[in-house]
Parts: sequence; structure tokens; C-alpha cells
Amino acid sequence: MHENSQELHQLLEIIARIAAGNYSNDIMALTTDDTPEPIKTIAEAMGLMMVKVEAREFHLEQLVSELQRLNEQIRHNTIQTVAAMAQALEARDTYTRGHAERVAGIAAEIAAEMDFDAERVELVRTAGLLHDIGKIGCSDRIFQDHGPKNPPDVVKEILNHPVIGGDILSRLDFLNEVTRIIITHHERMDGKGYPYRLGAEQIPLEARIIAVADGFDAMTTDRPYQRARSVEVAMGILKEDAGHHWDCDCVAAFERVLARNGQDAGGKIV
Amino acid sequence: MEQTISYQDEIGVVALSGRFDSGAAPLFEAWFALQDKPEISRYLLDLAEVPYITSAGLRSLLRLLKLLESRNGKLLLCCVAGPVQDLFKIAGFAGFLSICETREAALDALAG
Repeated sequence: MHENSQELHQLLEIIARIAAGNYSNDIMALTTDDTPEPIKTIAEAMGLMMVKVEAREFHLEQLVSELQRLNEQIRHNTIQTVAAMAQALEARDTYTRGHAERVAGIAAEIAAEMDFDAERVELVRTAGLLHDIGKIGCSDRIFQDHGPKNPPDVVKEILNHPVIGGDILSRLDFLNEVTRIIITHHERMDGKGYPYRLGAEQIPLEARIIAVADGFDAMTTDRPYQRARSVEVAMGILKEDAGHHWDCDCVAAFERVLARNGQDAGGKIV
Repeated sequence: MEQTISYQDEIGVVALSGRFDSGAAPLFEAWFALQDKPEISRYLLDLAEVPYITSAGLRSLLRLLKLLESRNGKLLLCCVAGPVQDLFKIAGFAGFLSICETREAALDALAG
């Protein structure tokens, strides 16, 4: 060992560095045929241990990334499943067929127009898709024509559907933000909305966007209580009630979206 | 160690010959850096003529895997000799390396 003291010293230094977590190719220089035994064998064993640790880290990173991908897939599939439930709901009511998807599309366009980042636009789209999910918990009576004035029990059910929607989705932790939006999508800027009569600043911006998209689609499609209004008339109502019912910024953003999409809300926006 | 590269249907086919050890590893890395094209994301490493691999060779291989992973690429190995396979197992590479018995099978797998 005495004649190899220089290599031995070098080996010990490198081992100390590896032990400190500083992985480099230094150890490999001692694994060549020029290195005397047993230093070469020890160096190769150390090198192999080091590569083994690095390989584990690499594999772990691969597994984490695969887990993240699967997690995202589960999230996506769950949203699709809940959306399918929402679409099944539309089968109970011919008037609202396609409503959720149109609201999702319009709301996402408004959000993008308001410079939301991609993730937040998707949040708004998902909330739009699921905004009426609470109607699952309502009786068929809310879908029937009751003439100019709904009976009180029907009104009560309608007023409660955002809360029921919140209850349904509250079991899905990852939809917390969506739930918050759905519960508040019928609140108004002047505090006269439902279910909580929140003030303007208490209503999430995403919910204000859904409210505009929801109101527009309701006005421009045939309903038991009204014939579909034209895009121009509906836009006029939104603008007239902006600041009271709807958020001015959201209405203005929607107006820009409509202008850009050639006033074709049913086709190009959705 | 000697190395050659050819391209088949946008797959880089790299054939190595000789011991993949501490002398060969840095030369292989420098050679590969010159040959590599960023637009090629699928590589096949033919190890038919590699009788042995050391920790230095394994480390080079790991760097290649990381590089291709960073561009969403894929690396497949073929014709791996028994002693090299053993080292893969010892070093824990078997969990993430994709190995085919023949070059044809590996090319098919990469094409699919």
C-alpha cells in the first residue's frame, strides 16, 4: 500500500466528496487499468455505488412524473364523468340542451379576453361545464312550464341549486375552486342575487364571468317562458344591467369577444 | 471502443464496439455530442460488440437517457451481452432500461 499512497490519498478524497453528495466523474479516473490494485477495484465499486444512487434518483423522477401524468388523467376523467352527469341532466330538459357546453365555451373566451392564464381559463371552462350540476338534486317540476310565475316551492328549489351543486362537488377535493365558483354564479353585483346575496367584491371574478355567459345563453335560446332573443338584444340587456346584475368588465370583455367572433355566439364561441 | 451512427426512419442507430469503460466513456460522450441532432428523439443503441461495461460506461448511458428524456425522446438497447445485462441489474438500470433481443425488434418497437 505504501507505494500507492498518492492514489490512495486521491481515492479517499474522492470518496469523501461522494459521501458529501458531490457526484462527479473524478472517481472514474481511478478505474482505469493504469491504477494499481486494490485501489482500482475499490474505485470501481465506489463508482458503481454512485451510479446506482444516480440511477435510483433518475428512476424516481421518472416515476414521480408518471404519477403526475396519471393524477392529471384521473382529474380529467373525473371532470368528464361529472360533466357527463351534467349532460344527463340536460336530457331532462330539452330547453337547456347544450347549455352547459355553450356556457363553458363563452366563459372561457371571456376569461381569455380578460388575460387569465391558461390554467385559470380551464378553471372557468370547467366551472361553466358544471355550473348547473345542482339541478340534479331538483325535482322535474323546475323544468316544467308554470306560466308567467313559478310556484313558491319551485322558486325555492331553483334558488337552492347552486348550493346543491356545491354540496355535490365538495366531495371532490381537487374541484374546490370550481365549487366556490358554482355556488356563487347566481350572485349579483348589487347584492340582490342568490343564494347568499353577496356583495360585488365577495363574488369571485370567475363566477361573475359564468354569470354573464349563463345569462347570455339563457336569453338567446328558447325557454318555456320566452322565445330566444337576438344576440344584439341580449347584449343590450347585459350592457344595460352591467354594474347592477352583471360585472361591467366581464360584459365589456364579452362584447369584445362577440365583436371579434362576428356576433356568432352559438357557433364560433362555443 | 468504436462507435458508428446511421439513421433509419428518423431513428438514430448507434453501434458500439469494445469495452465501455472509463477510457471509452468520455470519448463516447464527446463523439455523441457531435453526432446528435436535436430533431432526432429516438435512438437505438446496439451493444452486440460490447463485452463489458464499467461504472463509467453506465454513467454515460444514464446521461444519454436523461438527455433524451429532456426532449421527450426514447432510447432502446439491443443485443446486450450477458455480463453487461448483469451490470445493468446490479446498478438498478433494469427498472427503466428498455432492451430488445434483436436490432429488428428494437427498430419495430421504436417505430411503433
